[in-house]
Amino acid sequence: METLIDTLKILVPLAYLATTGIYAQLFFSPEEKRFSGKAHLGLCISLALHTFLLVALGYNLHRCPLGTFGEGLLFLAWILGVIHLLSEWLADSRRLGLFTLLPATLCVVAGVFLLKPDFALPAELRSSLLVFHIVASLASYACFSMASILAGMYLVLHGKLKHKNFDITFRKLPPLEKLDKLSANWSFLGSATMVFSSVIGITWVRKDGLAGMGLNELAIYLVLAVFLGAGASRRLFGLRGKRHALVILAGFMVLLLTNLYGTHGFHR
Amino acid sequence: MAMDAREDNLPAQAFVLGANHLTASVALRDRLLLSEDELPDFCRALLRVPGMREVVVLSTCNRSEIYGIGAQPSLIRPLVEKLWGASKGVSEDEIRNHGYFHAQGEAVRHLFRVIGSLDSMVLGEMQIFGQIKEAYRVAVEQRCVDFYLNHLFQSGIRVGKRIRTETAIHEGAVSISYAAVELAKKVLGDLKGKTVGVVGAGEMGELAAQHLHKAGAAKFVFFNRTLATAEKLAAGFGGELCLLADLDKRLSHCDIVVSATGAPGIVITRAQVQEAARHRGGRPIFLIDIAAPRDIDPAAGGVSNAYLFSIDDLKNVVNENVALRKESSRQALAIIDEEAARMEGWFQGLDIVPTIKNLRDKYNGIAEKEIEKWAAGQSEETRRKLEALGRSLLNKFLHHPTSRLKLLGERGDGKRASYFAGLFFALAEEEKEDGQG
Repeated sequence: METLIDTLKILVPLAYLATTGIYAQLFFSPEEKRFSGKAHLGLCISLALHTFLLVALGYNLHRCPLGTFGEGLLFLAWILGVIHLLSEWLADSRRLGLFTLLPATLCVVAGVFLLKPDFALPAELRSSLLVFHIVASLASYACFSMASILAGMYLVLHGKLKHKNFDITFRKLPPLEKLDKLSANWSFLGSATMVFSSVIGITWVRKDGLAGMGLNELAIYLVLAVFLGAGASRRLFGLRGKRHALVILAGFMVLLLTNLYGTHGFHR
Repeated sequence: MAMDAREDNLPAQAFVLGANHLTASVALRDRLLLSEDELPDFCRALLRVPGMREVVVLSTCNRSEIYGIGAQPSLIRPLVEKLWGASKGVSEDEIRNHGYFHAQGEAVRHLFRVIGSLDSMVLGEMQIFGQIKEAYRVAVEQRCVDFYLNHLFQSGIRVGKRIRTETAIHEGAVSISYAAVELAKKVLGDLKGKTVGVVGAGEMGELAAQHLHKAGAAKFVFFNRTLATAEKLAAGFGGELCLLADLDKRLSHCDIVVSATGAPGIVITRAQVQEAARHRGGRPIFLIDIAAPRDIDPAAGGVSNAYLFSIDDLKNVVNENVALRKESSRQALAIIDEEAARMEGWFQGLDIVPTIKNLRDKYNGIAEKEIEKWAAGQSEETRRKLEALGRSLLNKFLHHPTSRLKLLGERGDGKRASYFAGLFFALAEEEKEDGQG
C-alpha cells in the first residue's frame, strides 16, 4: 500500500501539472478546439488518480485523510477539481479551467510535500463531527477560492474593457455580468458553508467537552464579516461590479492570512 | 461541337465554371445571377449539353458557379458558356474574361475553399455553407446529380463542417454593427430583456438597433430633438419615443445606449452618465458612440460601471477579429489540402474502374460458356450447382487482381495498371474481337 501511495504522490502532481499546461494552451491558443478534449481527459485522469490517493491514504491511516495540513490541502485541491468538473458539465466553463486548476495544482504540490503518512490522530480528535466540520470548512475555502478567482477575472476583463484592449484574454473571458453573478453566488455558498462548519465545530467542542480546543473568533468573524458584508451590501446598496470584486478578493486575502498565521485553520 | 461517341468510356472529370466577387463586377454578377425559379430549368438544360454527365449550379449575390462532371471538361466549357450567356443575355467573352474555370483537382479544391468560406467576400461567413447545401438539394431534386457529384458534394459538406468545428474562422464580429453587439454581450451577457436607448433618428442608429433587436434586446427608447422625425423608427421597433431633453430622467433605465446624432457638440455629458450609473445600483451601462463628431463626452468612459466605446474602438475590434480569422484560415487550408488529396485519390481510383469491369466481364463470359457446355443435358439442380461453382471460382480468382488494381488506381497509377492489365489479361484483344463480332 505504501508503494502505491508513494507512486500516486508522484503521479498526481504530475497529472495536475500536465493538465494545467493543457488548460493554459486551451485558454491562450486561438485553436481552442484542438485542446478541449485533451484538457477534459487530463482533468478526469488527474481527479481519478487524486481520488485513488485520498482513498489509499484513508485505508492506510485507518481514518479520514483530513488530519494534517498536507491532507487538508490535498482535499481542498480535490474539491476545486470536482467543482471545475461540475461547472464544465453545467456551465460550459472549460476554457476557464486554467484559473481553477492552477490553485488546485499548487495545493496538490504543497499537499504532497507536507504529507505525513504515519501521523496518528489523537483519540480526542477521532470524531465524525470533526470530519464533517473539516469537510465543510474546506468546502467553504473552495467556494471562496472560486469566488475570488471569478472576481479576479472580473477585474481583468473590466480593465481590458476600460483600456480597449481586445486581446485573446478579452475574447476568452465570459461576460462581466456573468462573472459578477457567479462570484457573488460562490461567495454566498462559501459563507453559508462556513457558518454550517462553525456550528458543527462548536457542537463537537461542547459535546466532547474539549476545554483546550477553542475557536479563533476574531479570525473567523473577520472572514465571515467580509464575505457576508459583500453579499448584504450587494443586495441592499447595489455594491456590484468592480467594488464587489475587490471586496471578495480582500476577503480571500484575509482568509489566506489567517490560515498562514494560525497554521491550523481558525483554531488556537 | 459534337462529342466523340466513345467519350462515355473516358474517365469522369470534375470542373467548375463561374464568376465571383473577385473576378466580376457587381453589375456582371447581377446579370449572371440565376433566381430560385430559374435554377431547375437551367440545371436540366445544362445536363443536355453534350458530354455533361452531372451538374450543380450555385448562384448567390457574390458568386455564380456551375459544377459539372464530364469526360472532357475543356470541350464542355465553351458549350456551357454559350448556354449560360444566351440564357442571361451575357456574351461568352464576358463570362470567359471575367470568370474562371478549374478542372479536376483544382475544381475540388475550389469547392472546398468556397464551402469553407475561404473564398467569401467576408472571410469565415457561414451563409455560403447553407447556400451550397441548397444548390446541391435543387440539383438532386432535378436528377442532375449522380455518383460523382454526390460523392464530391457530400465530401464538401463534411469539409465545411470540419472547418467550422475545428477552426475559429467564423468567430468574432467582422462588421461594425456586430462588433457593437458583441461588445454589449461581453459586458451584459445575454441581451434578452435589456433596454436599449437610441439617441438620434439616423440610419446608423437604426442599423445598430436592428442588430441589437436580433440579439434579443426587447425594449427600445428612441431619443430625438423632434418627436415627429423618430416616430416611424420607434413604431418599427415597438419602442418608446422621448425628447432629447428627457435624457436625464430616462438614461438610467437604459442598459445599452447607442448615440448617432448629427449634432456638432456633446449630447451626453459625463455628469449625465455618472448620475445614470448612480441610479442603476451598480448594474453596468454600455454606451456606444457612433457619431462623428462624437456625441458622448469621452470622459464618461471613466465613470464606474459605465463602458464607453467609439466608432474607432469598434473598428479595432473588427480588425482584431479579421486578423484572428486570417490566422484560422491557415488551419482551414490544411484541412482542405488533406481532404482534396483524399478526393484526388478517390478520383484516380476511378480510372481503373473500366478495366476492372472489362476484366470481370471477360472472365464472366468464359465461365458462362464453360458452364453452358458442361450443363448441357444435365438436371436443373446440377446446372445451379455448376453456376454457383463458376461464380465462386471467378470471385476467388479475380479477388487479388481486382484489389491490386484498385490499390494502384488510388495511388495514381491507374493508367499504367490499366495498360498492363490489358496486356496480361488480353483485354484489348477481347474488345477487338467483340468489335469484329
